[in-house]
Amino acid sequence: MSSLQAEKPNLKLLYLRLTDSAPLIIARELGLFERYGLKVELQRETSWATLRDKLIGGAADAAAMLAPMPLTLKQTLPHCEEELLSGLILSCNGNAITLSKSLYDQLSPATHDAAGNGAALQRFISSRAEGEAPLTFASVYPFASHTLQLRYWLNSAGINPDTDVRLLVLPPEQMVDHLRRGDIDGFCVGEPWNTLAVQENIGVIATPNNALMPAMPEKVLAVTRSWHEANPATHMALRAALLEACGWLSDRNQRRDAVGILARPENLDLPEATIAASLNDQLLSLHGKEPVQNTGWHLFAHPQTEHGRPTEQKARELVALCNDIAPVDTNTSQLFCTDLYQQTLDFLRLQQLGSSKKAGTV
Amino acid sequence: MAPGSSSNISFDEAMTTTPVSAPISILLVDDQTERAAMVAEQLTAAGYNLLAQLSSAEGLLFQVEKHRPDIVLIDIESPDRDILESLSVINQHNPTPVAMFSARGGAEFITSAVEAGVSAYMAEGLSAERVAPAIEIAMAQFRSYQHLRESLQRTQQQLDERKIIERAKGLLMARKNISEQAAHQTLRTLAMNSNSTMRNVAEQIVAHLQSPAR
Repeated sequence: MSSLQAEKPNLKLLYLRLTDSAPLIIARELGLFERYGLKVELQRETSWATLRDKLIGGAADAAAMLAPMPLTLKQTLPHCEEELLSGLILSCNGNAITLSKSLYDQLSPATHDAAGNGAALQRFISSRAEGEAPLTFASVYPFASHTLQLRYWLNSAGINPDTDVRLLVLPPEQMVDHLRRGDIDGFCVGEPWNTLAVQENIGVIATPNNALMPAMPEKVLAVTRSWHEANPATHMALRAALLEACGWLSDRNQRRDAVGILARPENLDLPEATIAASLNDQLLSLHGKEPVQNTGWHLFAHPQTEHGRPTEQKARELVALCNDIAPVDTNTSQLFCTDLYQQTLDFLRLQQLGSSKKAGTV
Repeated sequence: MAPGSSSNISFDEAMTTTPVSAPISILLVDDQTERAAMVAEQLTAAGYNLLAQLSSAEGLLFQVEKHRPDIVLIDIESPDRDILESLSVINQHNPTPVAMFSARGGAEFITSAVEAGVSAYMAEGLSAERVAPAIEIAMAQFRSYQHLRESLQRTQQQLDERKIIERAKGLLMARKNISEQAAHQTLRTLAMNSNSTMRNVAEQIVAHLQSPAR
């Protein structure tokens, strides 16, 4: 196998405690980083701002980051001259909107889906007395797919996200506790936190977000521009290893094995049953009810699909949606680097050719 | 990073000037109370106006609204940083994150802030150069707190080590009826032969010899 001359073989990668951090964890478990000459340490963070600052400050080499973050850096970190770019979308989807059990019990929706629950929530909100404190919903970061999806759902139901409810931000790990304490009435977060809220019978999933906005880019492999320029071969090796891990995760049978790996204390440190649901495309929206099929709960990148390809078009769409929340610099679409993705595909194809040739001559 | 490596940071000049007429006001968020006290003391001594000191970001929105601080200083590891971040995105009057870069576009400031474990947010209308000295103070205190903790840990480890070795020697002296010096020698020989440390050997001996029937 032809190998890349990685400029920097020892790397540190950052991630948050979420099911869609799986590509990083699986790549390490399967030895895929080593296959491309890398030795990788994974480090779990609790907040997106900290993950970003450590990346920009050079305390880490790359991170599994919210897709809109590189595109909105100028807005969130003014005075920063560094840029974040991505040559690989790790996954799409993976989020859901959950309402507190006590709120849901007052809604009696006609149908238990995005439209039915939204309409019931709209009726409930408009029937509330003047002067009552508004319902409060949390998402994980201002410029995140979660905020965009939550706002989209509220808007479609005729609820004004800026005036009819209160929106705030909480770290993913704290969502379930805040819901339990009644600080918030609902949230939009990545898995497995929605499933956990249902399993603990304090929340009801109103809708998985792939039912609202299918195949929305969720997590990207982000690096700083200066890191990329200094380490192009390392970056390629990293993308190759992670794209391979994503491809491995696309196989349903292998996802069952992934559950056990992700559940371990050194990884997500959560019960297997909690992680298993979304990875097996099972939507458990009501406590005690049978889960239903939710195809595409997580769409990981795959060389044969377009989910992993960062394109200027995808970037522009995300930025346009972010621009509805607060004005952002819209001239950032080139930070989703299709050429880097294409390089990875070409490289992997050459690798395959190489190994099948070798296999043929043996 | 070597000490003094911050000498080429562009805000260096600003550091030599003390805060002018209206002192800059600061909100400090840190759950390490000892460290927070160190930072607070130094900031106050330097003439800053410390508005409040919070141990968690619980009620942070309310506190920012109430005090309107010029700067918010917060532990970089705080899971509540994204809450602060959302404040600045949704309303530009709220404090925005500071990520100062050197004139050459290098990331020295944010690098040293990440290393020290400090993150900072500043209010509208302030310049990065103006808030830099306060952040420098917090960074210095975070670093010295870290050194303090490390040296305390080392001292504690040394104490623990001495205790366990003394205990093993005592047990050896009593059980084998040998002198203190001979017991010491036994421990050392065992450690050398097993390619281990005196501490490890002492721990094993204590575990082995310490039977309920004393």
